[in-house]
Amino acid sequence: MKSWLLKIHLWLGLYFLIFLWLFSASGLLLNHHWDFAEFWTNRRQTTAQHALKPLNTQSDLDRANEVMRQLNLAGEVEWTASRPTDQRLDFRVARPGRNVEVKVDLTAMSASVQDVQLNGWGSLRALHTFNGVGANATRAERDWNLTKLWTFAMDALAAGLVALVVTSVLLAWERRDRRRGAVLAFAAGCLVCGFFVVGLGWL
Amino acid sequence: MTSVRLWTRDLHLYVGLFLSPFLLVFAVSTWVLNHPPAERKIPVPSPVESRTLTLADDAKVGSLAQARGILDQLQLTGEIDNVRHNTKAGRLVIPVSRPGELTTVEVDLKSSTATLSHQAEGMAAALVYLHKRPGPHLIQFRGNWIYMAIWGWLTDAVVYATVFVTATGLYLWWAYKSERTTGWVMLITGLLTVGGLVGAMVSA
Repeated sequence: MKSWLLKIHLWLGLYFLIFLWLFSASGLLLNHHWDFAEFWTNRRQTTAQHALKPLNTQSDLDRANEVMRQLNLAGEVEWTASRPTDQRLDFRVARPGRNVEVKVDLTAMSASVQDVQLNGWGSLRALHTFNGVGANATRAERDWNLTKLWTFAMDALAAGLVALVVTSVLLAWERRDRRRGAVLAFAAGCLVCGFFVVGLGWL
Repeated sequence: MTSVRLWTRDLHLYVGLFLSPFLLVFAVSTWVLNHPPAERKIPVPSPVESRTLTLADDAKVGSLAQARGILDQLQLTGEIDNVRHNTKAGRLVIPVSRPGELTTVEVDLKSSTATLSHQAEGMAAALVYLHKRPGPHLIQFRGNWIYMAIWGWLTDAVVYATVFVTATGLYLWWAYKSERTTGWVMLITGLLTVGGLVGAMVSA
């Protein structure tokens, strides 16, 4: 039993190691504004106008996908603005490190495209929060397969962390010579963390 | 077993166990963030409460200091999310948050009265709140409540402790010779998964 717990703990830990480092680093970047990791002032921004061929689809998402095919764009479609008129189709194509605002005039069959490309630091930050259901989206659903896969990977990391915690607690319990210290360390963590999760509501 | 390995094993154990509840908070809140309910439940606010204030003349209108002074008079504690000053209407709006709770204070500067509305948002919202703090937005306001400032330091400590625990884990794995081959397979598979996904998204 103990050897299997250790194997599972080890294998999961090694598999998720790079994920953990990536989310640790990007979490730090989100919480601090270090000069060396500046990304917004270093962005590359271009604006262009494109003529479009007639769209043969009806739903907004299908139309957006057709526009993206014509403009050679790939990414998650985000609906950031409610539709001003039936003759307009405005959306954002997002992926870590690149956001493209597309404003389509369906009468003139033209698209105004603003392309913002971020450097590596900006892309790293974006990986932490990229899940296709942003807080500002008016219609939150994932439509890009890579967003679905990335979200699945984040969920898997979350499940892996739970499994790592469970196996570490069980392994610690098996070590009789370290049980007291282990219980104290775990209880201290629970107390400090619990104070913030629950205790702050009582103040 | 060498003393270095014994020390490393003990530190990995104790630091990892202390870290465990924090990792659970981040894991569960990740799930909540990735799978929001299709229709967001609108929290039912408590009845609005009205109170009279004494507004200090020396504090700059709309400043954090003025907002904190108002909260002290109302005996209200929490992190001030921001302060919105509507000059034309002569009103201040001060959202005050704690994990899972939001109190909105609206101050009428002309009549020196404050109205308070309180929303309890539940445990899932509390976890998400902690996950996102301090975060990249409205940094001039972040950490204005001592407990949220401490939480900001703790989140940094959690990251550094995670790096420490993974580094000691790597060392312990390397010393566990019978698991080297399987370990390499897991490590490389993880690397390829992350590298493949990130590479595909960034270069698409």
